[in-house]
Amino acid sequence: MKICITASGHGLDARVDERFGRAPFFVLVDPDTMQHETIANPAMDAGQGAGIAAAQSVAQKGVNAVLTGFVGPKAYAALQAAGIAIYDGLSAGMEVKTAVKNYSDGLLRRSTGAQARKGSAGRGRS
Amino acid sequence: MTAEVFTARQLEALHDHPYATPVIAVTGGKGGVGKSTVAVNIAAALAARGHAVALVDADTEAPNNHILLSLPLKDHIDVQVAMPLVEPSLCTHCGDCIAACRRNALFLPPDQTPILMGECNGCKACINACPTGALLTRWMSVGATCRTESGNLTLFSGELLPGREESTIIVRALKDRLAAEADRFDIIVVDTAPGVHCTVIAALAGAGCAYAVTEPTRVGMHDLGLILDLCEMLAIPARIILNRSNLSGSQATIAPEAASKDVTVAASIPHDSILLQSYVKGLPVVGTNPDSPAARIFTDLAARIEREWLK
Repeated sequence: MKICITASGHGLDARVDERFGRAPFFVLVDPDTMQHETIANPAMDAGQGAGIAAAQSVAQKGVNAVLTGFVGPKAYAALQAAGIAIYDGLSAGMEVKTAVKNYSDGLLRRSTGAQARKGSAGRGRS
Repeated sequence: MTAEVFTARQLEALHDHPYATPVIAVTGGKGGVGKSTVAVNIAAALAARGHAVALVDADTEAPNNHILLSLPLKDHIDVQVAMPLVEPSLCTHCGDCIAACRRNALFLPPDQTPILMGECNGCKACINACPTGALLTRWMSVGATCRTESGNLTLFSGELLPGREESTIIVRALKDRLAAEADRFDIIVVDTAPGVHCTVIAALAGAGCAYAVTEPTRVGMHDLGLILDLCEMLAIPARIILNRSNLSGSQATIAPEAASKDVTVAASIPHDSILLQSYVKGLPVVGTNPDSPAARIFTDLAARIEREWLK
């Protein structure tokens, strides 16, 4: 099992970044062992299609679930196509390890659809 | 202040075209100021003076020069862009197409074939990058160009399909179609879309001068400033045409705006019920009422264009 948490820094102590496509880092964690690695999101500054490209990176790493603040329409479609579960609604202040614990404790909710966030972050259009 | 946005080489490439026929543009930033009315009347006046005129309606999202001329749109040619079509039996899931797409429009789910999810602009990089030929070319219509001849005037009109975003591609297709026979025209009049975006830049490309139509309102003055800046960036000499010039309001503001940009007001057209009637009828006022005040202004402008470009 491998889960991906969108983060503003490296490792389990990093803070969650609410964005998916334009998050600076992805912390990849095995929730059973807490083994983890951090990868940079190459799509962070993409001119277009950041959500799709971010989903591509995550899919290539064999991730089973993404934990984030919100996911745009194209990223949502891409993650769905790759069979990756989406848990959204995380807030930016949370530490990555807390997000993992909440996931393991079953406190996170599965996303019900693509989110648009007012005036910030991704430019995804459906 | 804005002239250094493009290098001399970029401008040369932008304005390069394979014919010697002079090109004048009618533009204006703001919508609804009378760009098309000015363009069709200048074109009709030049045609009436015996010149072979190509009128290019480059407002591809709402082309209406044909309506103002009561001409049908003829000789439609489809404008198509290339989209990738996956042949699953040939795909090795290598991901080369994903890496090639600068717009991140393709997604490759694990152990599946690529899916087009994002905004494809038809560049074919993915198709060229595919080592096994698994990406085929699927042509998708995004609009059309039309060509209608009426005496000395030939109207080239481009129209984008609703919901598509390839308006610049339509403008380029329109100009390519014109270029094929440009040498037989004495002059080319291009009517641009409102705004200062890439479609307008593509329409202005190659113009020897641009007439920026505006009206004496605060909105008109604001948008005039934008289009004059764009013309300066593109190194296209601009002149102002002040439509509805007797509209009460901020008429006084045009002089400082013009002076600060070092452009002149080529014509002032007062509000005129005869001009409005011709607009409603869909016939240029220079033809329906050649002695009306507005028609005289357009004819005078056409005579000056003739002296400047056709001698």
